[in-house]
Amino acid sequence: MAKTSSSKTKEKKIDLNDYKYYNNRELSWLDFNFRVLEEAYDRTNPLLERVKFLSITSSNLEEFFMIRVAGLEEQLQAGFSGMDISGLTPRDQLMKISQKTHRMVEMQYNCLEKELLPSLEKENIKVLKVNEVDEEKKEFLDNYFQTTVFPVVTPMAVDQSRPFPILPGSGINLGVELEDEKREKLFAFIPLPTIFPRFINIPCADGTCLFLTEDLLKMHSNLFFSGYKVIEISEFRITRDGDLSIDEDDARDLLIEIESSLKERRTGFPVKLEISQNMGKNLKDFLVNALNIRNDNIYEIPHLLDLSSLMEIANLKGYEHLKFEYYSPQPSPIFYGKEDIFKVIREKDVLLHRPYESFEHVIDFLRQAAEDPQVLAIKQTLYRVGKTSPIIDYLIKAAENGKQVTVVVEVKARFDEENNIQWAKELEKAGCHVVYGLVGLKVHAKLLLVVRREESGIRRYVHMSTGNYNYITARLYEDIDFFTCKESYAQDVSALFNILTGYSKPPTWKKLGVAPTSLRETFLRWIDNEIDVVKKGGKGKIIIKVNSLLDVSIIKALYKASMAGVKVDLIVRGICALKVGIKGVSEGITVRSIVGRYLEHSRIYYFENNGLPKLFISSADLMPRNLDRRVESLIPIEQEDLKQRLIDVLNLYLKDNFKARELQPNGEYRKPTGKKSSLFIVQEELMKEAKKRFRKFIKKQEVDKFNFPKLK
Amino acid sequence: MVAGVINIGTENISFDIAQNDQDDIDIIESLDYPLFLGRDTFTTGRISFEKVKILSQKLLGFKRVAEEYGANKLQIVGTTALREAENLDFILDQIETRTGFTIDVLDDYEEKSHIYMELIRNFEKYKKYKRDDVLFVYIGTGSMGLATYSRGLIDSSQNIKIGSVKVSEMLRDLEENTLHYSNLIREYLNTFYQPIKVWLINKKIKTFVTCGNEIEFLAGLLGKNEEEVLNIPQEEFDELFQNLKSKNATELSREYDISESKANSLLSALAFYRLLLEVSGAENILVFPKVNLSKSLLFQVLLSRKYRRFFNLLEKSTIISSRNIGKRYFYEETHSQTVEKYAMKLFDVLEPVHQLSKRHRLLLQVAAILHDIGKYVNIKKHYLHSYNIIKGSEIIGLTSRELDIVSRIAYFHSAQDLEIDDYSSQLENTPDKILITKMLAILRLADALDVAHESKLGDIEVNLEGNHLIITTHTPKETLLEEWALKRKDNFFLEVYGILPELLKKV
Repeated sequence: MAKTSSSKTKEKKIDLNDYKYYNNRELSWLDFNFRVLEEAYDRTNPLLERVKFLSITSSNLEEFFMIRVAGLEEQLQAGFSGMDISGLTPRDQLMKISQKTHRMVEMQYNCLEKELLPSLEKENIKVLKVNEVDEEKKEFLDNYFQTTVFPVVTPMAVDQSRPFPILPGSGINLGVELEDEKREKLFAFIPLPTIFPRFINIPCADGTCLFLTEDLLKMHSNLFFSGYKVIEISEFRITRDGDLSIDEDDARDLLIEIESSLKERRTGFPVKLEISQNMGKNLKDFLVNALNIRNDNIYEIPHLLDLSSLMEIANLKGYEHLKFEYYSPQPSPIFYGKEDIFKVIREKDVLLHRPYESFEHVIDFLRQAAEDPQVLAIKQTLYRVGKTSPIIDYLIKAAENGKQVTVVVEVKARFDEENNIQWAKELEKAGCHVVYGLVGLKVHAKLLLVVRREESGIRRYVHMSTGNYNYITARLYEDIDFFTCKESYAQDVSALFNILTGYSKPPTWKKLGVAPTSLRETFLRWIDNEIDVVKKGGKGKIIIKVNSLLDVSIIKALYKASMAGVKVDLIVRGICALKVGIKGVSEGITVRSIVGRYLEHSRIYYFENNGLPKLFISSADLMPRNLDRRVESLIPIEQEDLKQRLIDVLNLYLKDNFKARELQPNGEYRKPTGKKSSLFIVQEELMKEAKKRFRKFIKKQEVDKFNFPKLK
Repeated sequence: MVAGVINIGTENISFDIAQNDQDDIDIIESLDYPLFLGRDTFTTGRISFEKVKILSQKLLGFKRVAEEYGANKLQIVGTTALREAENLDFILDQIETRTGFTIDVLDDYEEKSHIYMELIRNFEKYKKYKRDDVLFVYIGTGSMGLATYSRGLIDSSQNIKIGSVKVSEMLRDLEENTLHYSNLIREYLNTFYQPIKVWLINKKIKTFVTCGNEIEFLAGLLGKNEEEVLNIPQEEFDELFQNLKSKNATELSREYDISESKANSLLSALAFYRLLLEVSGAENILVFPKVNLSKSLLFQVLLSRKYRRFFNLLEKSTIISSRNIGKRYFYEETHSQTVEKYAMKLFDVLEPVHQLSKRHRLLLQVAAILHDIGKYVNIKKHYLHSYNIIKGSEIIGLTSRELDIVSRIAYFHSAQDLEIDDYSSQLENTPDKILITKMLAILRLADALDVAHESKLGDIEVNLEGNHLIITTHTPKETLLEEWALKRKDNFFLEVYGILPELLKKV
């Protein structure tokens, strides 16, 4: 896919609209998933973490097909042949995606069979095959089948008189070819029950013995079809379109609308079909015909469909030595031991870096707000809350304590719709004022505002973040949190809430950049500013850390900056449509992606501004959807020590020489070469630093204690 | 303390929440919801019920926000768009049923008084401009207020029923047919040129002081903003005017990324200011960007003690501008002053009996000053002319209801042998009947005491003794006429107060 940019390097006018300057979004995303897959191969990672990485590549891929590939398939069906920024039509893209995905699947299973399963076996974690089950285990399995599995399994027969049943997407099904006494053929399906673990843990003397549920069903298949002969039985999986189509303009009640379209997700059109490699021709033909799937989208899998369930193995108890060493997010020395979190924020702005520092401080802030009698109101946005959440508990508590609680719940957050609807209803019941965001825009900004009546009058405290208010992912995702009570920030955040609740139109912003109105312009202005600096003889420098870079206007601006001589260092975890090393266009740009233990999630923007650096954190990536179709915030960090901290963090990311992959001019990502005498892994460094900082703080506290004048 | 003011305006419903911060107020929250009520009122005359529904929803939302800040006081006011809606009563009722809120629909004069007070408060600091006469200009969305200010007081005011939004809503249909929309507005505005010129005839205006979104935006175009006061010299304004005059709203909205409705009112405002510069010959425009109605009201609530001075100033301005109206109609100054003096004295002594407020005292004072003003038109039936002139005038600080009271007092002041029965039937449907009657009785008495228009009685002493009102004069002059006049008017007084006035001569 490497597109060699034409070698005619006539110093002619460069047209930045040329397709050759951009990477395709989907292929770039697949590259990212390859990088995750590399982690599964990486023997320096603990074994179960490698299993986890493999599982993640699989669930990632599933979502990718449900949303992105489904979208392209729809375009293809509709006969749309427009080109993307890299000059590819939907048909081209689908073809290339298929090629790349086939290669990826091959590598996934190679990893599983050649690397992970043998290694697991060495650690006495075995996935048993049917013929490896001895009598004792068989007895256990029979019993498990009869008492637990059998009652909930519903086979479905298909023949001329019955239509093809609606098999839910993403689950595993068994396809069965049957023959009756008259030797007439018919087909049946058995969807694997999803309420039980996929891997059955069989008691065994040493280590862990696992057995696949589908194998259990196969063993007992004749029980389902008495009077028929089972000719063949093998697994398959359908991936369905998972993009909810909601007509928001006409939606009278967004909540009801989304609830009903969630049901549709189960029946979205089939995008991909995975089948067991040894599936017979009859069954295969029948499925392909019934589901009407293009050949490109059929994947033959050697063994064990749906690798995402490997997460069950990765999470096995009792194998801590095969996992990353436990790391406890450190308390922030600024908050630690302080009774009054508001007082701390009044003294100065505070920055936290999760998960190196603990998310508990954010929870604590909310807890105090819910309990403090001086607090009048709390307003918060919620995007991905997760299944359980102390945040919801405190919001409810605050409402019960008589505070005015306003919660903007984004019910359109993909794959979290169900959770969020659930929360929205619960909050409403508790008396919170729940708002479902704006028509046509997803509310992605992460904001928490606390209004407090103090002696000097009303004061507002604000927490803003690059990451969601999600208790679970807060331990796994890397993010930046920011607390302040400066009026200018508070006014903007308050005004933003008033827009979200529909009470007001946008004001002129004092501090924040806000999408979809002013965010892109703000970025472009600061990029331009760096170009100006260079033109005036200074040195221009930009460092950006984001998850994805896809917006053409921003990429163009970065190219122009590079062309003007600005040094641009990008840390882009996922999709990157920008190309590096193009002569005369992007020689001054480096791109690196870091994939590691924690999901890189923070967005940090640095503009050198001729020695007076401007630093921002944001909820927004540089994608059109973030800049145009979401409510996002860009938060300037102005306190000098916090600016320095962000600069230090960025520099650590640029220093990583082990988990970083650098984008090459040919489009490949490669680990930095050069002497590896000193291995530098940014995430480990940040864990170390956070620990050190806290230890130092505690020590100092103790010293201070001892230095108190002694009483006689 | 935290207080909030919701202003239901022509374009937006705005909501400001503020707290007091020593000598100033600190705006915590400013919400603006674009509802465009003016579009309804100025075109169809009525406000649609869909908008009433939205308005009610937003009011309830605002109430939430007010609660979030624990606001102790919430005031809801309406201005032109509501005031001029034909279906106002139904709308207010609907809103009250839906939200429980009572909206205080401000009188046009009231609205302007608040703005003028705010302008004075801000302007006072700028001493160098105070040496000459100053013109205060407030271009509202539905009407334009003008007031002259000299020696620390507003001495005259004018209200023109044409505002920035109103004019653009009115001329909207014509806009498409003209190349120079601003010319069109100017032509329309020419009607006002001569009257304003006459009104300003004795004034030397060097500066005019104003506030408002439009002029603030225009100042911004000249690179002036972010300051407490923006100064636009006349030449700069003219240049800007030349640049913008040939543009229509669509062009303007595209060029400056503003809504078309805003561009429209901008064009009207541009023409207004240009006209005023021409008529007044002012050299500077001083813009106070922070002044607006809500701010003024918030100030009054949060810093009421500090604000008292401005109410006093306003009252003084009311009296000064009443006298100036008198002068314009060649009133008999000494008689007017004498009646005013006597009326005030009587009012104060009778306080335990009538229990009227300070505000009523002011109304009586204005009535006393202006009661004979109709003689300018004709001596015959002068009370009728007085009534018409007062009712048709503008007196800074008085609402139209108050002006109505004053003019009615003037109407009945002279009738000989006014019988309470006939009188009552004439005032049948006036809500302020009792009020008017009480003040009228005092004015008639005061007028009788100067029946000869010679201030013959000089300084009088007034004492209330039982049901006798003893008026003592020390004049050596013959007082037969006054005694006769007193007798002729005392019936009415007796009927109203149950008190008999008596003139006592002590030389």
